[in-house]
Amino acid sequence: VTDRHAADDKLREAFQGLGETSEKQPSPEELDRIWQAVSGALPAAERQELVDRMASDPALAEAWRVAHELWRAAAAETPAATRARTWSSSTSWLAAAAVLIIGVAIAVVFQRSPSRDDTFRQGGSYVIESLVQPEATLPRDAFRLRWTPGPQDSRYQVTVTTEDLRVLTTASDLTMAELMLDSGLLSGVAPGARVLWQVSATLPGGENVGSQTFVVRVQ
Amino acid sequence: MQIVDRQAPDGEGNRPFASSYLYKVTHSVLVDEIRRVRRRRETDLEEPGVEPAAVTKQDPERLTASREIGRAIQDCLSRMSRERRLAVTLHLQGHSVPEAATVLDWPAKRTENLVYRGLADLRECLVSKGMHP
Repeated sequence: VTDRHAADDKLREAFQGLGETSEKQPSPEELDRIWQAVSGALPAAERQELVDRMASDPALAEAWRVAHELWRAAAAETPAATRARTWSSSTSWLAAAAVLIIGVAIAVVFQRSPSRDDTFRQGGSYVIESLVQPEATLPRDAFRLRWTPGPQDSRYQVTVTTEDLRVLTTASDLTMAELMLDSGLLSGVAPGARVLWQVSATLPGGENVGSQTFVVRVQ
Repeated sequence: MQIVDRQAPDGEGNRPFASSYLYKVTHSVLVDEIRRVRRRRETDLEEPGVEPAAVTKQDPERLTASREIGRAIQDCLSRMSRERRLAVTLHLQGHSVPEAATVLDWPAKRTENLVYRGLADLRECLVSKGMHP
């Protein structure tokens, strides 16, 4: 049984690895359809048609995996009762979950952590809180994000996005519980605009803790 | 959570941004970001003396072998019956049987059977190509 699992893992790795070499970029329409399929909004026949295409299209398959990871992470943050009705109807809660988890999802996809399902697990009593006042306006030349530090030797990853979810920066392997943004990264952000940021921490024992999404404004 | 709280006064409870627009954008950003990081990694590796932003943990030989198997899998999938191909594709994508059954709108038992038989087909096909993953 163990051999079979190992062989299965190898097949998965080989199949999914094809996405690494694919030059193709899925179109916005394809991404839209994948979302609809993963959230259950697409009719079954069309979902099947998409899955069939994934068998020969590594870029499409990769986009599906991203969607699926995002869906799983969102579901982990959502009560089961809400989740049950979502596949057949409302998807509005997913939008909120998507905002909350964007940084963590990026980490999940990029780092291919061996413990993907642990991403949202809380490390004992450690909760990541912002040490910047909500909606505080920060100067561009001193745009410092700070949060409550975890135990010694914790590592942090921070994702900062605009309100329309354009990624401004993703910093990883930080040892200090703060991030100073270069003013150049904020050059395309209008004065007064909101910036969303989120932290995930890897604790010394290997546990991952994700923060909620914090909001500040750019001066 | 501040976002959720702020957008909730319409009386419909936990209703953040009123459409799935944001959700789709998130997905699109992630896919773009993956491609961007990958391109950056390739560029870094091409420039002598530049420390790469990220380096794959796999050695090149294993990577090449894995890609060969990947292409063989694609070929084997194309020869499989459609139903088995759908089931196996989702299995290879990391879906559990219940998840695959939901996506394909099939009963779980049937999906499980198709995954099982499809994987057997796949292994047989790979062996016929001289591969023993």
